[in-house]
Amino acid sequence: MAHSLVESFEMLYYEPEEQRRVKFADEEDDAQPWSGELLSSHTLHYGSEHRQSAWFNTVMARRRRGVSPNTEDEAVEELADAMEGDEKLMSENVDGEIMRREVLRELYKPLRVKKEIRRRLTARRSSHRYSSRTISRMQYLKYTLSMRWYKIRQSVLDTFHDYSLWHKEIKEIEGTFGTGVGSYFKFLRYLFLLNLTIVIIVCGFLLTPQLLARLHDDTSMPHTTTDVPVTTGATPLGFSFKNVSGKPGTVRVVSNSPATTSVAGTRRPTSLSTTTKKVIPSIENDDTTKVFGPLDWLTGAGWFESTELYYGTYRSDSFSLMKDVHYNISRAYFFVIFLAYVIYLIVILHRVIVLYKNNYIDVEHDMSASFVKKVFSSWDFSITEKKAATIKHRSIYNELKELLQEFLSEEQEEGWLRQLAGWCIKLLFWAIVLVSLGLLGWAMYAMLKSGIDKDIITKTDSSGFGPLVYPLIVTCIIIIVPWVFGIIVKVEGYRIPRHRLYVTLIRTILLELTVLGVLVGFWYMHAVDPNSTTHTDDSNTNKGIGDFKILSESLQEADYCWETSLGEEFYRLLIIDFFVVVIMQLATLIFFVATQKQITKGKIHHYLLEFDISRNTLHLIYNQTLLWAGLFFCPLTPVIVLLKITIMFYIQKFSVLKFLQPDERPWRAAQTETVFFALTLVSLILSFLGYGFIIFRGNASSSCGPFQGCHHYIDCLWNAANNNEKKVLNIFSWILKPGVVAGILGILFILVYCAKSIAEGRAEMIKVLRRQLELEVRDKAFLLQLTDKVRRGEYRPASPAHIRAASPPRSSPAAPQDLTQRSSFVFTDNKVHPVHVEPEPRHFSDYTDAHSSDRYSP
Amino acid sequence: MGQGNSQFTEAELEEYQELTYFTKKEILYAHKRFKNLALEKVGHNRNAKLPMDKLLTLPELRANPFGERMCFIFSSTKDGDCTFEDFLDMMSVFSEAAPKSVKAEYAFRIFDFDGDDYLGRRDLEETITKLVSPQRFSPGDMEALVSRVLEEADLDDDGMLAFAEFEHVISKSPDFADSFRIRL
Repeated sequence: MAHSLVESFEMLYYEPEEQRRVKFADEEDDAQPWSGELLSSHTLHYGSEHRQSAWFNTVMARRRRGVSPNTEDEAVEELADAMEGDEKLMSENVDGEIMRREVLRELYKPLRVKKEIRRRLTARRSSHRYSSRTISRMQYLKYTLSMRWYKIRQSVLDTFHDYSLWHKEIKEIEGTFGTGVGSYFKFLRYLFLLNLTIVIIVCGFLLTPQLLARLHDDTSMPHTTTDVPVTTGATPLGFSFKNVSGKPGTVRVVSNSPATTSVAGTRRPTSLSTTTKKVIPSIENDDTTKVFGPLDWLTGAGWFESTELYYGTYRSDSFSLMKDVHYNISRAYFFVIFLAYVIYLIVILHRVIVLYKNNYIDVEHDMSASFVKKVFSSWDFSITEKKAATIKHRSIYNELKELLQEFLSEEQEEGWLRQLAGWCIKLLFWAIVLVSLGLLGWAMYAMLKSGIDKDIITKTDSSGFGPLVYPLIVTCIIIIVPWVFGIIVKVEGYRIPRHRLYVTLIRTILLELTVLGVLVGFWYMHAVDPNSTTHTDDSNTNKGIGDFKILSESLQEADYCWETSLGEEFYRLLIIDFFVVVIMQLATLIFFVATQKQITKGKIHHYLLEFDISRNTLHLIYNQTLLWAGLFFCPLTPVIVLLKITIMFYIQKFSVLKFLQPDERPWRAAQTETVFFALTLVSLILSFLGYGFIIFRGNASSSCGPFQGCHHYIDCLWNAANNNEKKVLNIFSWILKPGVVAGILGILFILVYCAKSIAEGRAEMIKVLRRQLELEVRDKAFLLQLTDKVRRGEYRPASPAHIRAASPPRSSPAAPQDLTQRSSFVFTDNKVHPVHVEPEPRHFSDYTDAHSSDRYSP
Repeated sequence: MGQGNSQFTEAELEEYQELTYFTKKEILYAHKRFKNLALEKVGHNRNAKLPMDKLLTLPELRANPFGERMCFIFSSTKDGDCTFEDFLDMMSVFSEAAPKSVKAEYAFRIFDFDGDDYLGRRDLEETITKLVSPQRFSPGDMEALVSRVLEEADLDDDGMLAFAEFEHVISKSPDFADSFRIRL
């Protein structure tokens, strides 16, 4: 009985193992006479999606009766008739129309035939409509309207499709480099469009009002320098809100006699108005006006500090150009940035979910299908260049060869000792990497601190090369360290290349987060010092660090705008990164030209001249992370990133098409793309959380920016809510009640539970169906075999009485051997006997060898 | 819209649009591509039949090891020569908008070299040979490869893949829809 136990166990889990192979049917040469009319071969012709529809069943019924069309006209006639009979398909509404289109599109027939069928259907439909008049005027109107709406929608979608950005360029790149590199450029395009949306929002709702306000001030007070955001420590609160309810048309202006603005600090934004960011020669003798220096482009300091590039310049009050219309920039600032984050979050989350669903959930259960995948979906049909095709051929060859060797060598299992050693090595390397990341973070922190010290002590204007050192180092780290990671991971001994890739990716992301986290953290700590909460001079004192104590007396501190400084830091990182990448591209080009004549091309050559998709994609993500981290402090980062992406697109397109080579390593675009998007999402969420934390807990600079006068940023919003509408607060407090929160959580919990149960149920169902499928296939194969034997007169079926006697009682569960008994035959060896002769069931696998040795004996 | 669509009326375009996965502009563009293969002939008769050699000068088909197969599959006369409608059909199946099931159906046809509605051992061998073209697998390796493929995909163990089996494995390969695509 042990035998059958093993057997039923095997049946439970479908794994196509060698020993279970059954071969009933003939091999390829001997065409099976019965296979011609099997259902599966017919489903082929009519689109898999419509197997269940009525018209399809009609056609199938005709086939079963042995009727099949001989000429094309007959085929058209048959299909048209069948479709005509399908009520759902012919229904007079938009659903029916869409369905008809889908059916026709998916039909496996030449276009000419489809056209003919469509014409007949249309003709019959219109004649039907006029003759029977089954639909009323109302319905007809409804149909026409909805059809028109459908068409308009379709044409709008088509227009978007037709004019998709960079379509031609991406096609060209895909043609020469394949879909892998194409996916990188598509990712780039995706980010471009996303950032473009944000840029429009930021410019529309934040930048323009701010510029208008500035312009307004300048025109209304032509002679005094209006230094709007000056609020000295005494009366910071309520300032901006008085204005909201204040008289229309008056913009609060504090005239800045030198006495009141005791600190004409270097970082004080001026209101020298420029609608565009052009250099305007300063006429006034105000020392706050910065002259545009040549280095400012790089450092983002100097003149830029007084532009709308940074947080510090935005006003905290509201202004009105028309009567009774107020625009509060402080609130606008908050909401625009918040909206930007939310849009990013929703869009990217949606994308991740779609990708995950398509590439993981739908395909999850069967990783064994690797050979099939490589054979059937490895050719990239988008390739148009001979050179690329040659490389692709070679790559597929290597891949298949590798896979085969891997498969053959898989037999030898590694000892547990070796496995343990492998794990230890991996752990060790992880520890090393994490520790060195920690050290790196600490070093960055130390460097930032010393940099600030120097800056403040020497009171240098931050326009020299000094501030460029830090971003330069960071950029180098971001470029070099992932490369080191790539080398390390090869030593570690991950067997599967994809794992290698993922490990490198995770480490690189960790590195980026460390660097940016340290940067933001440093400035944040700088600002949230407990002493600074009193809005006194020592806002910059870093507790426990003696050096800073000296400086705390400096009056300059009160005016210190840490948000602007941080914004500058991000600006520099973005710009320097851009220049470094451009220089690297140039260097590669030079290298290419220099080595073009050489015949032997070494590893360096390969490394430099291959387009590494993962490295480039990571770089894009890094850029995007910079954007998200810096958005709050430098609201125009999307503009910078947008410009940068555009330029990068053309530079990279040039280098890809002119001198780079396709990567020979295979690139599994679909799943890796998902991972990349997931990483993007992670960095976005972290930025979002960081932003939220700063909003709620961070201390706003007291003398600059839209939130001046508030302790925490969020206070400004609370104030607004308090002042204006009690309702807002009520709603909020109601939502935050424990009961409500618990209720929401409870509902969510139940939903999650339901979803999970359904998913589990489905998985179970799949298992059952799988088993059923296998059993039925065996059944079918067996019966076919039997029919064949009967036909050739080798076997005479048993009488009905015998069959009844042999059939198992209905109630008993189907054990594997029931398969044979149900048909009332049992076979031993390769002979089939009626069940009453000698019912000794045998394992199917035993059958294989015997069967193959002497089947169909002559 | 100028001379480009003088060969088609609006109604015809509409019809093509309904029957393929293309927009009107793409249909016109496809025709332009088709016309460029044989300016004289297609200019004369917009639905002229072009011989296979002419079609294979299209870069997308020239670089493709299955280019010839594709012509055969989509040719309505089954001899590899294609009219514009056949060409449009081909491009539509390979377009981005075409669903996976349709692509799978035609992919099956393309890999089914002997046309018996099954992917047998010989079809698989032919496919692999075409995939690695200048390189060659030794007979032993080829045998092992084909066996592995069958083992993975052949659910009913009849030594060949029916369409249902093919579709089943293809639906699990996330890269299939991406790779089985030609940008117009």
